[in-house]
Amino acid sequence: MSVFKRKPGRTHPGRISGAAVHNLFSHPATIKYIGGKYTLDKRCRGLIKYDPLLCIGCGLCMKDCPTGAITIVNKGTKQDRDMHAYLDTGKCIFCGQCADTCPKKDIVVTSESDLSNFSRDGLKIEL
Amino acid sequence: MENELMEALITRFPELEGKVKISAPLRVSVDWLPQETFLKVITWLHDEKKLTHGHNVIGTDEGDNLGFIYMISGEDQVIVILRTTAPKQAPRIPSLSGLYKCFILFERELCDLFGADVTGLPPGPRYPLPDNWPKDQWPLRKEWKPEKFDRQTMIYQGDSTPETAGAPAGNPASPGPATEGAAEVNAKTEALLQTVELDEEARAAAAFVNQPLPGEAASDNAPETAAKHPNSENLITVPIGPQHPSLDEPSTFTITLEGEKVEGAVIGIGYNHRGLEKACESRSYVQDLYIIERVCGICSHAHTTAYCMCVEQLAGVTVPPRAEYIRLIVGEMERLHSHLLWLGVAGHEIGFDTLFMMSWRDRERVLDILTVLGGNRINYGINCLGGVRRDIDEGLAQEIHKTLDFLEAEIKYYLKLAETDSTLAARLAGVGVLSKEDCLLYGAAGPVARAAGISDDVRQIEPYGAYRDIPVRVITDEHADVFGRTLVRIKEMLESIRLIREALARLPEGPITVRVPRRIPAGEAIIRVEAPRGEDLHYLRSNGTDMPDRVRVRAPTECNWHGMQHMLEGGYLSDVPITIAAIDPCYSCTDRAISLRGHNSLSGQVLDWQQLRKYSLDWYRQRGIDPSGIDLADISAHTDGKE
Ligand code: SF4
Ligand code: SF4
Repeated sequence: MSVFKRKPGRTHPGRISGAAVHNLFSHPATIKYIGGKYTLDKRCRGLIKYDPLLCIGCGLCMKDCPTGAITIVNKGTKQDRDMHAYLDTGKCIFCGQCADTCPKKDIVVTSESDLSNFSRDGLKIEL
Repeated sequence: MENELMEALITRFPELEGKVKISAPLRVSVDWLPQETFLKVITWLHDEKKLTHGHNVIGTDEGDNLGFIYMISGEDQVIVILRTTAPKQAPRIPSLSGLYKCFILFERELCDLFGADVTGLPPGPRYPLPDNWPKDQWPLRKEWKPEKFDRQTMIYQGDSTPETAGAPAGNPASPGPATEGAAEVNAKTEALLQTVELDEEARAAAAFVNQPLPGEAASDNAPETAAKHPNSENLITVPIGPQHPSLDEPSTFTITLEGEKVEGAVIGIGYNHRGLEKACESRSYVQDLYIIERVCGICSHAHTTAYCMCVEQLAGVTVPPRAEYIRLIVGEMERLHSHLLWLGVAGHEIGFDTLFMMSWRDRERVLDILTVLGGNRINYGINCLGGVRRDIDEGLAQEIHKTLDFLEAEIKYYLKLAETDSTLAARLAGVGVLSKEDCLLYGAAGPVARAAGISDDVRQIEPYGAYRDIPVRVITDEHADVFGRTLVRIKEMLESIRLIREALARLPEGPITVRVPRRIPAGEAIIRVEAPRGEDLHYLRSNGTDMPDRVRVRAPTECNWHGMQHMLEGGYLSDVPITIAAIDPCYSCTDRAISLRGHNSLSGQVLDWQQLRKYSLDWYRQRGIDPSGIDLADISAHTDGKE
């Protein structure tokens, strides 16, 4: 985050030139509109990641999700599980409660925030 | 203190023997009382025991009855909880707004949300439901199911509870269960109605705003009272809002002016009612945490802290000390961010936009820290039931220290600015005065009360969490106007910085969370915490399942609204925005609840996206502008069928 590097440039008149020089060599605060990739600090909460191999299908994440955004489906049989997770990113509020609840910790929160889509249906994704 | 009060109560009212108990430190809880006894008790407590601060009125659904829970306190800060009931068929209770002015909003809420018939309530706009909401639908009653209600047509499908429908709409003059106490209180209400402010309120209410609701006859005495004013032909009314550039959130202010002077003000709020409390009743405690967090975008941490403390108290778990310290750090960070935001808004309202730019730039630094601390910029989500979700490590502590050093220098500069800048003093001093007596009368909270010299800070009155270890120095001021509120807020930021530094230095080792069971034992908890805007009071009642029975969020702004009218009257029109801004109003907090309000000309209908677009296209066509030239057709082709 480039904002952390900012210096107070107001209280002292002499600092203005310092700030000008600083700004001349610092990275721009904006990014290119098309093609530029904005990355959040990795401690931010963004899209969740799901590991179907660890999931035991207990359904606790669905129960605790405040918005009902996540759906876990077993497409296999009892013995031979084939787990899938579907997330409606239009509903998800990225609270991370599912990751906290999951007893197997197979849901983790990432800082991925690039989620926009051209249609509502496109917001429903499989994790 | 609690014992003394309890004994005094029992000595005076022997019938209360066995019904009074100390439910928690600083809480005296009285069992359900018949209305007659209740009115005697509350009048006695108010007059003799000087319990003059009204905190809250909560409605509950008790099966066949409606329950009403009143919370009052006095000098010694013990909150007395009094309860009374009224049958659902005729839920009539007398208004206590004669005793406690600050109960007006809460009682209006009882009428709208529970269908209570509060007799003697001064006239005023409806709160908090939309104007076109049917009069016989009371959403917080348990039998009312949101899924049966069609928001487009405002029709409730299914049995419309015929035996209760129409009860409150009944003739208010019809003899109710008139009790001696009720007569007393009503007389008091009457007496108070004669006093100037209420008279003015009534007059102002009559003048305009209070357009009759659909199906409601216009109050007959309205034009009469308006005509009583000696200068009524010189009065003009200026409606501001619900949408207005100087308002950050929807609300209406109808200002009556004589020249430039504000003669009367009527405030209409409730546009943000989202029904959060109803939503909480059908979700689990864990899910509710996220609803409560969204009550307000600025004091989200204060609300979740209060909610978590309620749940933890009921479940009987003790939060690990480290978690309490982290809650303190985030809470104080939030105060910094809220006060910096306020300072900017205040600067903006008085045309000092440089201050706005400067303080909002600094606020961004606080938000950066909150982002990395909690994971999100506004709804940090750091609280969880039983503790906090994220720890503070060494690196993060360093980052916080660095930011605090920066902020301290900046805030000291703001303080110097506020104390020495003559323009600022000239613009703010003497504006929006609410004296100490008025603050007590209207139940003002937080910086508004502290600016009037009242040492009202929950962190000191009733220390919770880590505030027990790190005492707070309460900042007060004697100005009692907007200038005083500015000074209080700036000085409070310096105090917050001190608190965070101390908490970081003393941060205990250990776990940050304990397990909280999913089912919470039956009981009720009343918790107050100090939000940036004042006392935030939460009420939570559980019935032994994994969903709460009743959640009531009384945000600080809700108490500060009562004095608003008083602050505006007598001032000048140009001071209205800053006076409103000075209580740091948070409409969402107050209303807790999005309900769309339909356009009147469309018979109160809520428009969906397609209708709205058609409406706007027609609007342009009527004015001879052809919107097709700007490729709208093209846009619709893309969006059709996808929305
Ligand atoms: S992050 Fe929150 S809203 Fe999103 S799926 Fe998980 S629990 Fe649900
Ligand atoms: S909580 Fe975890 S283990 Fe259980 S269903 Fe969800 S992802 Fe699978």
